Amino acid sequence: MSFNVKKGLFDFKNPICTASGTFGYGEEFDDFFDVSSLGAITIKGTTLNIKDGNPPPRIYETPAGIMNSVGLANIGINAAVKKYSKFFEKIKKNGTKIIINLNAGSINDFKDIVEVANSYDIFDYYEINVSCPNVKKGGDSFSKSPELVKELINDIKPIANKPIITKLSPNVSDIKEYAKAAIEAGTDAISLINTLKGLAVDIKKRKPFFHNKVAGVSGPAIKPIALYMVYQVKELLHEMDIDIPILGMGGIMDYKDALEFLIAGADIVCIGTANFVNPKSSYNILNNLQKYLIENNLKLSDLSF
Amino acid sequence: MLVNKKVDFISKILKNKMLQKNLYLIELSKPEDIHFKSGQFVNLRIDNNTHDPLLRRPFSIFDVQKKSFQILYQVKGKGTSILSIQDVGDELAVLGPLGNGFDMEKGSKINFFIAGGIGLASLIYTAKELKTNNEGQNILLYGARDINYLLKEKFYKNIFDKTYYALDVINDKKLTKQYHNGSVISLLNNLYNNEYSNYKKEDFSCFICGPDPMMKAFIVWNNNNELNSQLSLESFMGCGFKACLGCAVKVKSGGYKYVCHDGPVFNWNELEL
Repeated sequence: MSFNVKKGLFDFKNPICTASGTFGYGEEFDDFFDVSSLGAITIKGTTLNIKDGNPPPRIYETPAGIMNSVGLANIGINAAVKKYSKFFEKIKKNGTKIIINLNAGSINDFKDIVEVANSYDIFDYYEINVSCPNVKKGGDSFSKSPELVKELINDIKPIANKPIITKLSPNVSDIKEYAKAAIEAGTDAISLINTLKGLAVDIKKRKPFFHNKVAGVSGPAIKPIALYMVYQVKELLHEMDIDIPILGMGGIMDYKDALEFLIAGADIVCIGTANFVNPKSSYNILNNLQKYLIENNLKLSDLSF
Repeated sequence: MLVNKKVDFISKILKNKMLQKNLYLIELSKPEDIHFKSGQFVNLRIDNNTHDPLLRRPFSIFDVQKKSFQILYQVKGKGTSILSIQDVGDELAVLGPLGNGFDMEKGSKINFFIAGGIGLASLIYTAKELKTNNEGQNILLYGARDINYLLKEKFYKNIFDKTYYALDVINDKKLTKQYHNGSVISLLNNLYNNEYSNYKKEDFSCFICGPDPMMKAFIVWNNNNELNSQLSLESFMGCGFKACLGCAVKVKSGGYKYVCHDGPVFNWNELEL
């Protein structure tokens, strides 16, 4: 039975992917399961140069969710390729696609990192983070208005030699406006949602828990919000009569959650916070989803509206 | 060095009992081929069927047998409180072994095990292991808020050659002879400069585990004394295997290291706490 997802410029052997910042570079999960069983992995948010990230504390637990203020800690694109290309090649041989999540603080810096990414064949798709809420001067500014998103994608799209995915922020008043802006600028896919902005308070110290005050909320707690946004973007695609893939994410813990996203309009689902709770989550979801479809004699394309 | 593969396994609760107020001991089954080094830890799913608490909790290893291991824990928050009511026979997901563990080659003539509160948990197994290949004396310096927070000695009999206690608060004046009133680091300073003043600097090794302020105080003290010392850190943690980058700790060489992957044991002079 066919389990692959073919849409636009995308061709995944199955609809299971991982969410950026929750799966390291993939190799961290090699002890736990065969990562090359997944349709794709999204590697952690990458910048042109090494970034130390935020001072601790960086993580906090809230009912059915977590909050993070990691601050895009990463080793830089060139070092990442050098360190992990063997692993990437290994899983690519089995048909797993590699998505690199790209981050920069200005349009020019975005162009620079896209040019560098272009020089490596190892990446299959670029995910453009217009929404990371953790870095004061980072992607956040592009989510201030749909026009900024449009301008950014407009400038990146012509120079990118791989299909681009625009990752949207949920911290906006109307997600459709942002999705529309990205689509009009020529994005090849939409991924959503990034983390929601939140505040954790330390009552012992009587002050905000994180140095940056604001942190990104993820996990099951945000799932209904993510589902609604995915649904809205799917509606928009119908309205615009455009058929590009939606990568849906936000609190997917098991195959039933994944089904909900697929029914709400996602073509591909990305597993995020669940990777921390159970490192085999994405693998289990893949197998259980497949089993569900077989048992119910359904195709993936039967799920979405 | 032995590279141990991380495994996510389902473990059966063999025992889960209160030893004394707030302190619990849980015994969990493990496959025979999973070996724990002293100072390593596991990430435990408190309850497999709930999203609250969502994340696993890191615990150091208190003792190990062939087919089981034990964790000593203090009920502090929601996670440990739920753990304390889990029944014998229930199953929990266990991820481990995680982290680097103590370098056991570094034992000396005098091995100071310096524990703050529940930090004692990882030092007991370490002291036991050290005894197997080191002839030196194992001396425990054990600090806690007050006498009720000290694990009773009957639970770790014959592991240390000598034990000294430090209590922040002593209500019963009769106890001041037996218990140092003050921090465990001030106790260390007293012992080092009095009872153990005949030894050379090179004769000491320190194995330390406790809350951050104690670690900071130790580093300040050791800046002057420079004893060979390994610190086992506690941290908030998302995953336990360097995927979330949540457990960052600042290092002197610049940037951050990660407690779950580069630690939890660090050399005292690499940290910028």
